[in-house]
Amino acid sequence: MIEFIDVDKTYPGIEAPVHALDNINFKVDAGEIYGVVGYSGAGKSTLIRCVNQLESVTEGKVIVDGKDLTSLTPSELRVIKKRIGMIFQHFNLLNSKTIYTNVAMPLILNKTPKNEIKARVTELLDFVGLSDKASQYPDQLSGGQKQRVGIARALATNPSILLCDEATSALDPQTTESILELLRKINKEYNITILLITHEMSVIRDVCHKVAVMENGKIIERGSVFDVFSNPETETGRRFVNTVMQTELPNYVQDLVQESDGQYIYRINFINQLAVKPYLSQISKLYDLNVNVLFGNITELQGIPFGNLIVQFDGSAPELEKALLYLEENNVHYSEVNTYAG
Amino acid sequence: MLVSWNTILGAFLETVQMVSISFIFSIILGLPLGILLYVTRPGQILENKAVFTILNAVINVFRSLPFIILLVAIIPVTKFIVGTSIGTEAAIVPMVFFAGPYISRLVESSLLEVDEGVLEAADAMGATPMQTIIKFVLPEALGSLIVNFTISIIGLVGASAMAGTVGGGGIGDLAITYGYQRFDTITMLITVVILIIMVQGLQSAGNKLARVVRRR
Repeated sequence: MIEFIDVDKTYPGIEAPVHALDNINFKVDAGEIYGVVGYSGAGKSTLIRCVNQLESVTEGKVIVDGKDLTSLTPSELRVIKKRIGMIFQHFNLLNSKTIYTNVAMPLILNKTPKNEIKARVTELLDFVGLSDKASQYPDQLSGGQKQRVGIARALATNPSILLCDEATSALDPQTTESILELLRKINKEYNITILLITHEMSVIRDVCHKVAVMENGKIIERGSVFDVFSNPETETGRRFVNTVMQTELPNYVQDLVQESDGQYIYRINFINQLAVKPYLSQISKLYDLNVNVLFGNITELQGIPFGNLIVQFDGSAPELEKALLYLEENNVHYSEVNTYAG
Repeated sequence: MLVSWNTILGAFLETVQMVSISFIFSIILGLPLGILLYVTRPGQILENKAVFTILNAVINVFRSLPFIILLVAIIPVTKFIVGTSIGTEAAIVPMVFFAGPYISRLVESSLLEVDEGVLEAADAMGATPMQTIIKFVLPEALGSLIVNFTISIIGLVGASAMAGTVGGGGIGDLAITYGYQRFDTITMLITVVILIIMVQGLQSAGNKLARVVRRR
């Protein structure tokens, strides 16, 4: 659906050129919600703007719907842009126009007949829950309502892709939740592919199927949200995961680990209904092992409970081996905790 | 008082005529030039260094000349356009050359106030440059444009006072020829009061209109 091939983007800087995107390769499949997370200045804003060519790339290809955007003329690009909706951190609504006209704008640009515009705008305002605000102006609305208008406007031309540029960063947590709910609904009901960028890992946790972590213009890590959350590979990735769920061992656990020479300490990840099944107590019943939970938490990932436990097994090596086999048979992910690295 | 009320009324109407006609032509000249300045400026939607630089320089040339100098300096042009270098029509030509470039500058600054985000949204929707200007930039800048047009029309009222130099008539001319040159204090006072009322009226009308447009 969206594919970046060897994409580079440099800006002429004051002293040296700024490398905003550095050899970006990634792919968003149709129907996915793909999140890109990174600190400010990581290049994610440039990245999302390349998808609808608000920014041109210096090197490489951006392929949307099978077309290489870098080879298109401005008028061909305009046609593609109409199939890509975009919402913004600061909403970017026309303050001089009513909510109705704001939502209708993409259709007005297309010279859609007035009665068709009316039907479509009414439907969209209903979808985002703002039917009663049609004749009001943006400055009479709250931030969350303005973003709903932005979303309705972005959907006006029935796009197949929705780009979200820090769409919830200017909103309070409760409003953020309702906007994310709306994004999930859009993805499900209209089967629209969503690419979003954010600096909030909670946004990724709540709506995304896949995630890429960006730093210094590079994608340093990517994968399914479950994989990245359960096993972040980079320092930055770990830091982002830790903002929403503690995966690092607290100091007291690390001390315990060192005192016991790190014998038989495992990280166990449970997903789905597994998170609520009593595997650990089963283990201590079935095998000659004591199970000591050192640390743990359960988080919700896309509505699925995700448990993360650090446990210490007390017993003999053969018994432990059997216990681990038992976990494997039940599809429970586990990994030995590296004692000194934490 | 050396003049009749009828003369004063006539002079007032001449001023209104000069100001309104030159204002209309100044907008016809200044608005498109201001938009052109805006769109061709570096980083804008129709960036064009050559057009921007030349236009910028030409507008600066006109903007450097005090009106009284412009009035006499372009007499040949005035003659070519309206066929005469004296009278009300002859005053309107330099007034347009005075206010047109001024308005183009003000238009440029009004348009530059429009939020970059709105342009970004227009771009993301696949708006053509023409649609971007007409559907996005101009409506968003309308309040600011009205404020700036009010400033320009008041500038034209001021300029019209000097139109007497080319026999343009009007309130200003009356003030100079009677009030100043013939020491007619009453006429001087009356013309001053009329000018003040005109300017106040235009300013409040402009403010009111801008408020309506901005809905605040």
